[in-house]
Amino acid sequence: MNAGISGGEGAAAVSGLDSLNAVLVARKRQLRRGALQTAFVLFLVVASLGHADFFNPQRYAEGAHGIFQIIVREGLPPDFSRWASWGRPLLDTLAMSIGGTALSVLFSFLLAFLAAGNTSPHPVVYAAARLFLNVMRAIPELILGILFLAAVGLGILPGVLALGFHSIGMVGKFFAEAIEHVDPAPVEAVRACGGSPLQVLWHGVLPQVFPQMADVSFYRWEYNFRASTVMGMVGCGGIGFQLISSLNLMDYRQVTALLLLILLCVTVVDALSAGIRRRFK
Amino acid sequence: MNRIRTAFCPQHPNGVAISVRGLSVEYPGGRRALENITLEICRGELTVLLGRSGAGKSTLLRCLNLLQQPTAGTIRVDGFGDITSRNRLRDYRRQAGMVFQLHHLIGRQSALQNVLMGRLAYHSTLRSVLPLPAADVAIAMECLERVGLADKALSRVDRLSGGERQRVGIARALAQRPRILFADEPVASLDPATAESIMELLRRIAREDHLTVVFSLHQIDLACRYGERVIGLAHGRLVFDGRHRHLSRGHLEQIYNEAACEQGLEAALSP
Repeated sequence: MNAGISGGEGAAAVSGLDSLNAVLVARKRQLRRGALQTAFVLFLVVASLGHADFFNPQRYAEGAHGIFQIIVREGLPPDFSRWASWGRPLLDTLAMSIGGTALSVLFSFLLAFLAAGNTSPHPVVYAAARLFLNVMRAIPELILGILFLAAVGLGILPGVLALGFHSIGMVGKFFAEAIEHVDPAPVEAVRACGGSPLQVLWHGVLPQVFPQMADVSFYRWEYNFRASTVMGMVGCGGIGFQLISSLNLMDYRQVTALLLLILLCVTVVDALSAGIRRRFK
Repeated sequence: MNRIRTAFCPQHPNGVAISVRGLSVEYPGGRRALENITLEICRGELTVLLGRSGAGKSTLLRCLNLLQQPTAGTIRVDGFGDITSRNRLRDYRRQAGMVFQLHHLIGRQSALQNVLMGRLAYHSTLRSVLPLPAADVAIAMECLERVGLADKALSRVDRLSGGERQRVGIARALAQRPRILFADEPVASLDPATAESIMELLRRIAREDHLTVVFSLHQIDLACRYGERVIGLAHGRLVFDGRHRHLSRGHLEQIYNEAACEQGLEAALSP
C-alpha cells in the first residue's frame, strides 16, 4: 500500500474498490447466465438426436452394409455412356435456375421497399408485404412445383415459377433488411436537394443497398441451381428428371455419373457467382 | 436582462429572404427543441446560428429547409410565400443548398456521382433513372473545380479525407445552383486548419455568388470572424440577434455555460 495516500485520494480508492466489486459481481452473473444458455443449447441438441434414434449403433451396422452395397458394388464405376443425351436437360436446369432467380429478384426488388420499415408507405402495407414474404418462405419449393405443374403443365416453366415464388420469401426479406440498414444521412441529403420521393429511393437508398442486393441475388442463383436439380424429380424436367429416372430403373452406375456431373456444374456455378459477387463489393 | 435585438432586416438594403414567426418545435416525447422563435434572415448576408450542442441550431436549420415540420409558427420564404404544395417544396429546396456536418455522402459512389445528386431536382423522376445529361456533368465538374477537387472526380468518396469529403458536400450543394446556402456545423468534425480552409471556401463562394447563407456553429471565434450577423440560441430560445460586436459577456454566458465562456471570450473579443 502507498503510505503517502491523502484523505481525499483514500476516499477515491474506496469508491474505486466499490465499483470494481460491482463489476466483478455483474461479470459473475453474466458468466453464470452464459453457462446456463450453453447447457440449454447442448440439451436441445442431444435430445433432438436421441429423438431421431441417432445413438442406436445397431441401425448403423445394418445400414452401413446397404450403403456400401449400393455405392461401391452397384454404383461404381460411373456410367457415362448416355452423356450425349444429358446436354439438353442440363441446359434446362440452368435456364430454370436463371429464370427463377430473375423472377424472384424482380418481384423482391419491388416488394422490399414495401416490406422495409423505413420506406414502406403505410404500416398496413408493411404488414401485408411481410406476411406475403413469410408465406412464400413457408411453402416448400417442391410443393409449389407440384402446384404449378398441375396449373401450367409439364416442362421447366412450373420449375421457374416454383423457384421464383419460393425465392421471393428469402430474397425479399434480405433486400428489405438491407434497405432498413441504410445510412439515413445521404437519404436526407437527397430530400434536402429537392428530390422527389422516388428520386430519394432511387438515388439515396438504392446506391447504398445495391452491393448487398447483388450479393444476395447471386447467392440465390447458386442455391436455385442446386434446388432446380431437385425440381426435376417432381417432373419439372432438367437434369433432376434424368436422375430420378435412373434411380427408378435402379441403374446406380448412371446415378453416380449424373451426381458427378451435377457436382461439377454446382462447382462451376459457385465459382462463377463467387467471382461476380466479389466484384460488387 | 439582455435585450434581444430583433427587427434587424428592415434596415438592410437587400430585404428579407426568410421570415420566421413564432416557431416552436416539440419532439415526440415532449422535448421542446425550439420555443417561439421569431427572426428574419436577410438576403445576401452570412448569418451564424451560435449555440451549444442541443441548443436547437440543427432543428432551426432543418426547419428553414423545411426538412422538419414545426409544431407551431410559420416560415415564409421570399418568392415562395407559404409553402404548401409538394411541388413548391421541391422548387424551394432546389434553390436552397445544404451542407451537413458529416457530409451525408454515399461512400461507395464517386465524388462526381455525389455532386450530380444536386442536379436531380432539375429533372423528372422518370428522367433521373437514366444517367443525367452531359450538361449536368459539366456543371458538377465546374463545382468540383471550384472546391479544388476536379482531379478527384472519379475517386470513391470513402477514399477521400474528411476535408475533401466536406468539399464534395459543398460542391453538391453548389450543383443545385442555389440562392440560399445552409450549413449545419460544417467544420465540427474537422481539424482546426482544415476547418479554417473550409470556412474560408464557404465565405468566398457566398460572396462570389451573392448567396444568402445560414451556418450553425458552436465555436465563438469562428462565429465572430465569419458571421456578419450572429443569432444566439440557448435551450431552444433566442438569446441574441445582432452584429457579433454587440455580443456581450452576458449574452455569451447565456449561450454557453460560465466556464466555456471564460475561455471563449478572450479569443472572441480580443481584436
